[in-house]
Amino acid sequence: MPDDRLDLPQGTLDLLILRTLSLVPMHGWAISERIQQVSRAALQVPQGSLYPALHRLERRGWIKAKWGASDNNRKAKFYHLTRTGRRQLAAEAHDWARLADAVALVLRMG
Amino acid sequence: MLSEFWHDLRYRARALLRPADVQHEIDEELRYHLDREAAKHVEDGAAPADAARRARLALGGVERVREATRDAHGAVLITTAMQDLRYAGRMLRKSPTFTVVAMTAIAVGSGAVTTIVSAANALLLRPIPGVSAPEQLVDLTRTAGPGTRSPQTASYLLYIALRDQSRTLTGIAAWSPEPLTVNAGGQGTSAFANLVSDNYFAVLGVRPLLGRFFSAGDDREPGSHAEIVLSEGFWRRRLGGDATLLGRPLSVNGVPYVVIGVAPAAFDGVIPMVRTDAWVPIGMANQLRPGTDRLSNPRGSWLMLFGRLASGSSVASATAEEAVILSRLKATSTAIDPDARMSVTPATGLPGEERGRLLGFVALLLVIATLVLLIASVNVAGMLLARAMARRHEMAIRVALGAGRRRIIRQLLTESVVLFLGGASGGFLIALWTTRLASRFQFRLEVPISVDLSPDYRVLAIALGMALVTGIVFGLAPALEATRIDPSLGLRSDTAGSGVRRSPLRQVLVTGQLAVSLVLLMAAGLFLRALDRGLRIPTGFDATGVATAPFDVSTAGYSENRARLFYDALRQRLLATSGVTGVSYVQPIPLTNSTYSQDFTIEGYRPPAGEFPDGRVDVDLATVATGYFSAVRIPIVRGRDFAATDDADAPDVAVINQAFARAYWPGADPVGRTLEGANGVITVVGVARNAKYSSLNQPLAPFLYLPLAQNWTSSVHLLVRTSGSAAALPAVIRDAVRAIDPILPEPPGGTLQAATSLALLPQRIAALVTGAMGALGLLLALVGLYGALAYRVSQRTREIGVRMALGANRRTVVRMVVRDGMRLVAMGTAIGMVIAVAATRLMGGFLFGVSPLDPLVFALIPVTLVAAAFVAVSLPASTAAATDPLVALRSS
Repeated sequence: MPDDRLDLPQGTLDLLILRTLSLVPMHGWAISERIQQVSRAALQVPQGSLYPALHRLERRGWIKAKWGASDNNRKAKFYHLTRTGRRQLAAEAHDWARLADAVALVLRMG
Repeated sequence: MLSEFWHDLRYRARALLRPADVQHEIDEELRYHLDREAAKHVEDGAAPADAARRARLALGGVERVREATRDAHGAVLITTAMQDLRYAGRMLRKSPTFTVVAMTAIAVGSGAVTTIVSAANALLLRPIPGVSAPEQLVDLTRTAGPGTRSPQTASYLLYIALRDQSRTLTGIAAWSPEPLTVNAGGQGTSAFANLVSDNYFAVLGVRPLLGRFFSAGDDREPGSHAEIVLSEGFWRRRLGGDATLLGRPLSVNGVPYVVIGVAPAAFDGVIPMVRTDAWVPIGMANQLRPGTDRLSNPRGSWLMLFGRLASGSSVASATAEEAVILSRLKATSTAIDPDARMSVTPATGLPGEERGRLLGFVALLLVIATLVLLIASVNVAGMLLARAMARRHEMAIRVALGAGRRRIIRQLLTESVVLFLGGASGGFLIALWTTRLASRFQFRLEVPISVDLSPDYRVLAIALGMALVTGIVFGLAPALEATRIDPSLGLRSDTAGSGVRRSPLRQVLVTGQLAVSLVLLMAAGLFLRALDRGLRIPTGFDATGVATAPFDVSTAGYSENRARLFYDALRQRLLATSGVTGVSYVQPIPLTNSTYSQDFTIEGYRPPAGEFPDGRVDVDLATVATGYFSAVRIPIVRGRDFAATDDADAPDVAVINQAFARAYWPGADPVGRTLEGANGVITVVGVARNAKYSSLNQPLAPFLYLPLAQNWTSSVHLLVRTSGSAAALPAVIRDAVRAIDPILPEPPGGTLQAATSLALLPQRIAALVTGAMGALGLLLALVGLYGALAYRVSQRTREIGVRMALGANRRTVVRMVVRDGMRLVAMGTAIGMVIAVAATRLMGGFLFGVSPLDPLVFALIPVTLVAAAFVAVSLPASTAAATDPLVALRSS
């Protein structure tokens, strides 16, 4: 079966994680499932790069982790957005929208 | 921004400090993920083993993800730091000459600073050693009203009142220095002891090494407890560490005292600078000095007090409480000076007045040492810059390959920090050596001084912290300057002649260095001038050929009569020695900063209103035996010298100095006039020529000599004049003393010149330190100047070649380079002069009236500096002139 899902452009994974966490705290596996669902399976989240990204975001203080019980009653690490994370999400979403617009503009030119 | 930085650092710190915890968490998190992923596949109908395999596949290599996550967590910083360190080490090893020179420069500068910091730490900061919880101890100092000569000691009665009434202090103890003579194995030995209150050791929280200390209540019955506690050092050195001495009698000032205990080695009294040999209860004060009553005299002021803060009370609350107690006492007793005040300060092991004086001096030395470190650091910064510039090509390549400027700067900073840390470690070793040297220096003083100046962990921490800061500060500027690279330009610059780009930073560094070393040399010059002036100040007496030794036979149990006989016998015996031309006694010995004074009513003189309200004048005086004036060669200009007939039964007489006559009886003949002191009327029989008395920079003031026979004190200084060498006399004196009474301790003898030269000690130390550091600073600055110019010349080789090819001759080239260098020298000198004018004013107090703007120093030093700089400049200039245009043009 040919895989026609899109690879993520560089730097967009952070944005997707922040956006996903802006709704409700989630653990790593749920985040990757959620991104695939919401993007109607069009986006391929590389599971291997999800965890380094989570830790990087946590180091920057944009998200915070807490150990809690998951829906199947096991100990899992839940991430939630911090206030600075929320600000960062707004800024990055804005930048992303501008970039997308600009790229679209350039593509239409031809 | 900053909070983000902190968050980042804390997060990383966890990865560094608790790597196992972090790893465990990551593993847990990944395991959960794999389980959930596998569970999803099982739900979709896969076999469990297959589901687990697919989950692992989707994650993409568990080990790789583990590592990437750990790196993201922050461990990566540590890894790059290690990389930077390794790289720095490699770069420093690759150019050993640079590394050694730079580290030596830093070691010298930081060694200077560390030495001073170590001394300051030992003298001013280190708590009293050997006591428990020293931070709770406070000094209680009595101060009189503002502006008066302030006695710092208290009477016994005042002590008792404070001790019994204070609640903010759990205990107040009192002590007073008391020189004793202890008979150890048939030989009298001087012991520097303390009279102490019964609670002295209890308040300090010192526990005995052997035996016990004094018990509470020992003071209450004066004279009843002839007991002595020995210091560990005295017990071991003088008494052979004999434990059977405990409980046995020891002859102290000729009276048996029971040895009850030995103090631990770590404890050396509350002023650790002064060696303490033994402790005796305060209740024995009157027995130790027969004929005195120190315990019940309300005006006697002789005790130093300290206390321990009760839990919950502070220095402020104790101060307030002592003030209340004192005012209550003033209301009920006339014995308390109405202006008296008690000040409470944290105990430091140094009396307040000395502390202030020392603080000023140490601060001055610290500034000087810091300047040397500054010069050394600037020098190294210059070298780092040259290195970084030489590596621009390499760095341009790295930038072109994608390295960030930040990363390169961090790399260069790591290198300079390593360099400075290495230098500072060397500096610490230097400080270990210099402080040991300084501690070994023996002062000839009446009290045994023993100072341990050696650095401790605090000094090490300061030294390393300083290295870190200087390494970053002095590494940053060159790093920033050298990394201002456009990669394309950087790569090209090597081939074109564009290397002439001037580096303003280098010029600033060299100029600053020259300025600072000029300031140092100016300071050194001024101190030398002051020393010279001090040595030339006419003292009014002649100390050459005179030996001196302190005596107090009352500590050996001598009565006044017996003491008089002994001093007479000693004089006769010494006069019979060949070469001895005069023998006398004096108290106090001149130029040792000690003054004695008394109040007198002076015939026919009324002091100006307000100055001395009761009409009595405070006059400085010395008590001298017959033969004093001839022994130190002070001429009697009018009247007569003291004679043997001026004894205790004869009418009281005095000799005054010329300033006394001029001040109180101007225009009249002073001989035959009288003054009245506490002991009756005294007739002036002679006038002695003016001299210096307590110190060299003391202004000329009225002074009075009283005959020892009529003003008895058993504590005197022997003076012996010889036609031969005074250095041989101490042995003669010792033999004479032993021949008369072998039980007396050996007197510590020396020359009068050595004793009085202490007056110039601060100037000597300052001249030595500033001179050495100034020379060092200049040397470093010249090396820096030479380096800067040599570098400029090497950068301009091509340009010089072109000029020479176009017809410039060698002289033009030399002139060009010299002008270039001397411009920096002129600028540095000018700036240094401006700073010196401002800075040397601070030294005024140490200069004996030499102007801080002394023309000789201000003319000579800059000229010397410019001359030396010219040499440093002309070397690269001649190199430049030797440039072969053909080689230069082809070279790149």
